[in-house]
Formats: sequence, structure tokens, C-alpha cells
Amino acid sequence: MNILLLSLGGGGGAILRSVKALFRRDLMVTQKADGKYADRLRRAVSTRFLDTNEFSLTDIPREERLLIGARTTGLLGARHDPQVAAQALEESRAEVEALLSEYSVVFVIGTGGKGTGAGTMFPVVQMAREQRKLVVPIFVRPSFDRHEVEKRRYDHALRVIEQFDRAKIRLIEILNDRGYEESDPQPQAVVWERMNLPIARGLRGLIFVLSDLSQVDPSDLATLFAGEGRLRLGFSEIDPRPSEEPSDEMIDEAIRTCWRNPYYAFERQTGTSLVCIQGDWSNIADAKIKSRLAALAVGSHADSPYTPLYARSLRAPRPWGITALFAEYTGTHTPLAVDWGVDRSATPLLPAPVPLQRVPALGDDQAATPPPSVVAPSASTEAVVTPDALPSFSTFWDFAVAINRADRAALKLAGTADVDSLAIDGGEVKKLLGTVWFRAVVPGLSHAWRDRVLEALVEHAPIPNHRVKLDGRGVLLSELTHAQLNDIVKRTYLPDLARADADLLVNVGRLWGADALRRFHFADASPNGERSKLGALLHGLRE
Amino acid sequence: MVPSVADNAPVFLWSGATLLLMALITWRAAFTHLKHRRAATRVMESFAERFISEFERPLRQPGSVERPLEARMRLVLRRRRVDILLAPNGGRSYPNLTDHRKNMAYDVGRVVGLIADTRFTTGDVYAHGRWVVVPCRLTTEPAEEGGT
Repeated sequence: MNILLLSLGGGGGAILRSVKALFRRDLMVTQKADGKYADRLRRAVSTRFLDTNEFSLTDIPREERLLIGARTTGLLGARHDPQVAAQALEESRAEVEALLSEYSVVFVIGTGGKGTGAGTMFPVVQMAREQRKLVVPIFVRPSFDRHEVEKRRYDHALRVIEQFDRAKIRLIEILNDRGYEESDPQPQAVVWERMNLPIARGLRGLIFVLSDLSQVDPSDLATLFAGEGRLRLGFSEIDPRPSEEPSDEMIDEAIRTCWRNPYYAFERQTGTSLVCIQGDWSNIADAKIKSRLAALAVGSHADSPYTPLYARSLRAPRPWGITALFAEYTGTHTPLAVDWGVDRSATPLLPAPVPLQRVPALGDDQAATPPPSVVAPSASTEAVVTPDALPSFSTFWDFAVAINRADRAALKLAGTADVDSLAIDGGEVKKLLGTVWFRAVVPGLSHAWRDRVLEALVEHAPIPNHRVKLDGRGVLLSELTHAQLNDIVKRTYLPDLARADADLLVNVGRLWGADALRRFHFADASPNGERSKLGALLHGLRE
Repeated sequence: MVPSVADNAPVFLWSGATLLLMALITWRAAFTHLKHRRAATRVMESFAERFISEFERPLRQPGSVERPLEARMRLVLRRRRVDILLAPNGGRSYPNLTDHRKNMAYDVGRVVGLIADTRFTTGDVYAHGRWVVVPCRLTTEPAEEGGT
């Protein structure tokens, strides 16, 4: 696994210098605890400073400089003109593409307001996307109110942001305006550190997750980054005394800090998000962290789309804490086609098997159903497809996996009404619906396929009609609306069997609409599926 | 001998008819004036609303429900003028002419260009208390009701 931190222009370069310094500071702390681990972290990340002005990079090691547009700009800068910067990038396109091709994850950092960052931000991110890299664009919206830039340059920055939205590329948008707090005035250096620290610390968590893709579902990551909207990095340290558990106050404070990042634009509900927990404490402390974060993410929305992907690292050296990458929910999107190939030979950051968990919300049944890895459509697959011959897949599962991989043949079949070309096993659909990646596949199916899939699921077997608690009274699953089911799944303790069925219904309602729930048949629930008093008591003790 | 009413009937008739005609003409003129006035009001209000909306759009901050500016409009129908009054809101300092005169000039030009309503011309912006005033003048006769 290798990550490239690429800055664009002077503003991006300043942020990258800061991130690099903060990351190095973290590494020094880590070095004391575990030298090998620190080395791996160090090797995983490369930094490059792209610019049109060679004088602004004099303090940067030569191997980290990437000067573009020598003929266009004479390496004297883009004259604060984004058009000139875009031309310079075009001139050096080959070099930039060659650089991007060496990495699987690329953070692109730029600021709006002047020339190089504003003019190259979107095209560079597009280049990386075209190479099927996982790209995290970090773009700064400057403040004209505080005279960082003129209004027309601020407006140009907004147009860059609109380009990302139109192209359905998620980005981290930093709002410089929020760095000026009348109630808490701070020197600029302090504000910048506050803005940049989450990036440096978020990296640590992301490197950890991306270092061992065999234990993290790449499809889930591809889903997290799919679609338009904003991303928000959050981090907080939790530093309990040796051999002690973090206190409730410590956890509360850490969650608040991790959740709140006032500098980043983020206005919609929180959707699929990655939460990395690092620290040697008990699962009780873990549960408190997850539950408090979920409470903030879900808020008062009964139908919150918050879907956390948890990554847990034990025995990671200090500094410990939580890093999170929250994504705005902007609907259900087809997962990105990401080429993870570069990482196949990667060594995990921690040499011993790491109990890295993918703990899905809503009873996601990942453990029983290992997800497919996301790869780009292979040339050979494309070669055998002819317009007239639709491919055959041995099972519906294979078909879904192929769609998720953006296999052209599968996508073509998915868009047709040829639903009889494949037998669909309702049990398989039930398992698939427990996975995040399949839930992103369903919206891409034609109406005929969607109907057929739902029909297979409905015909598979009746749903046990569990009795669950709603507002203190017992009601049957069959009597609940989709909104009520959603609420119960999120807020109520349910026995495992009942939870699995309730989750299934919630997912069906979300993907096919609330009316689809009426098509299900319900059967009397077995006594084992009910919440016994003893079960409830034991649950209470576990909590 | 005092002439009787019957003798003056033609005079009364003509006078009455003349008065009625004059009343009709006056009513017609007043009606037309009011109609034009209403049309001008509507056109000027619509222009001002679009101006304010487009001026405000880039100033909105993600996640903030607070409006970034306060806005008023002042119609001077006699002069076919609408003054758009803008002031900062929510702890912001823009718009103002003290330190943002150049940005204001750019922004007014940007918004007018986007609206692209050639019936209006804008004058020099000026400050009035905490307000920045953008004077806009309607230079052509607005289309009559039901027209475009």
C-alpha cells in the first residue's frame, strides 16, 4: 500500500508542509514505542509538491518537487491565473500521470484563490480518477471577507467546488472563514495547525486500514468515496494511563473532538463512514466509543443513513485514539471502480494477524459472506463481449460481484429485462442484502431485475413474525412501517434472529420502497427468536 | 322671464356628455398610469429580488442556516428607480464599502451580468449608514400586464 500526498501550488504546499511536519512528529512518538511500525508508516507515505514556480519550492528536497509547465510559465509561476496553471498542467500531463500511476491512494491538496491550486485541482483529481485511484481531494475555500483573496478569486474557488459536485467526486472542503473566531482569536499558525492536524492524524488511520485490504472490504471503501458530497476527517487522542481503561470523560471528550471539525464543510446527514480505533483497551471502551459516535451521527433522524465501517487496531503504538472519515449521505451510488492492484504485495503495518473488524451497522452479515474485491474491468472480459451475446453467470452472486466490479458484460445484462437468463436463489439474495456493496449494486439494476430479485427474496421463505417492543408495547414485525422498523433497529435491543430479519426488511424498504414490505409473508416466530426475560437480563449485564 | 329647465335641456345634455367624456378620459388615463405603475413595480421588485438572491448565493456558508446578508429594496416609482440596500449579517463584514469597495464593484457587475436584464442600469454604489446602496434604474417601459 502506498499513499501519495500531492500538493498543488503555494497554498497546497503550505498545507502539505504542515501535514508533513505533524505526521513526522507523530512518527517520532511512534518510533519510541515501535521502530518497525514507524518505519512502515514512513514508507507508506510519499509527498510531492507540484508547482509552477520553482522559487516557492527551494526549501523542498529535490526529489519531492514536481515543477510543471516550464514552457508555459518559465517556472516563474502562473501569474495568479488559473487558466495559465491549467495550460502548464496540460504541458506536463505525462509527468503528472506517470507520478499518479505509482500510487493507489492519492491525497490532492490545493487552495482556491490564486493560480496553480485553483487551475490544477480539478484536472489532477480527474487524472487520478481516470487511473482508478482512490482520490481524496482536499480543497480550501479561501476567505475574501477577511481579505485573503479578492471576491472574484473566491467565486472562482466556488466554481472549482461545483466542478467536483457535477463530476460526483467527493472532497474535503476546508472553509478558511471558520478560522477567524471573534470569540477565540488565535494566531494564524495555531489556526492552520488546527485545520491541518486532522489531515495528518486521519492519514495514520487511513494508512492502517488501507495497509491490509484483505481484512477490510475494499467495496465498502469504494462505496464510501462514491458520489458527490463532502468528506470530513476527524481525530482525537485517547491517552489512558498504562494498563488502565479510558474513563467515560476521556471517551466523551474524544468523541466530541473527533466529531466536531468546524473548519470542514459538511451539511448533510452522515452516511457510510470509516472509524478507526487504535488503543489497547477493552471491548467495553470500544463499544462506548462506537455508541457515542453513532448517537452523534444518527442524531434525531429515525431514518439516518449512517453506516459505520469500523477498523480496530490492537497493539498499535501510541498516540492512541480515534480517526474517522465521515461522508455526507447523498443517496445510493455505484461503488467506485478502484484499482487496488498495486497493493497486492503490500505488507500489513502490523506483522501479526490483526483483529481488524468490519462491524457493519444494521446487522450487516459480512462475516458469513466474504465480499469480493473491487478491481477494474479486465481487458479480456471486455474483449469477449459482443453486442449480441449476453454473458452467462453461474450464480446471481457471481453476477452481482461482476456488476460491482463494473464488468461491462455484467452491467450490460443488468440493464436488460432478460431476467430469465439466470436463476436467482432467494437465500443468496438475503445474504447479499446484508452486505454494503450489494446494496449499492441494486439501484443499478433494471426494473425487471429489481422486481425479479425482490420476488426471489419474497418467495424464498416467510419471515418469522417476531414480536418486538415499540414504545413500550409488543408489536409484530408484520405490523411495522418502514420508518418504525428503522427506528427499532437503531434504538432497541433485539435478539440476533429478530435483528437479522428486521435489518433485512429495513434494507428492502430502503432499496425497493416502503410498499415492497407488504409483499412479504410472515410466519409465526419460534420462541427462540423472542427476547426472553433471561436474554434481556443477560444483555443488561453485558452492557 | 326665467328660462325653464326644459329650455336648457340641450345645454345640460351637452354639458353632461362632456363631463362624462372627461371623466372617462381621466379614468382611462389614471387606469393606464396605474397599470404601468403596477407593471413597473413588479419588474423592479423582480429585478431586485433576483439581484439579492444572486448576490447572496456565493456568500452562503455550508451548514449555516443564517442568511449571510440583510437586504431591503426601496422603490422610487416617480424616477423608475429601485435602490437595493445590502448589509452584512451573522458576524460577517461583507458587504461594506469601507474595505470592500473593489469587491462590491466586481460583485455588482457580476450579478448584473448574470441577470442580464438590459432594461436596467446601475449607478455608483454608496453607503448609507450600515447599508450599501445599489441604485438601479429602469430605462424602458415595462411590458403591459400579461405581456413579457
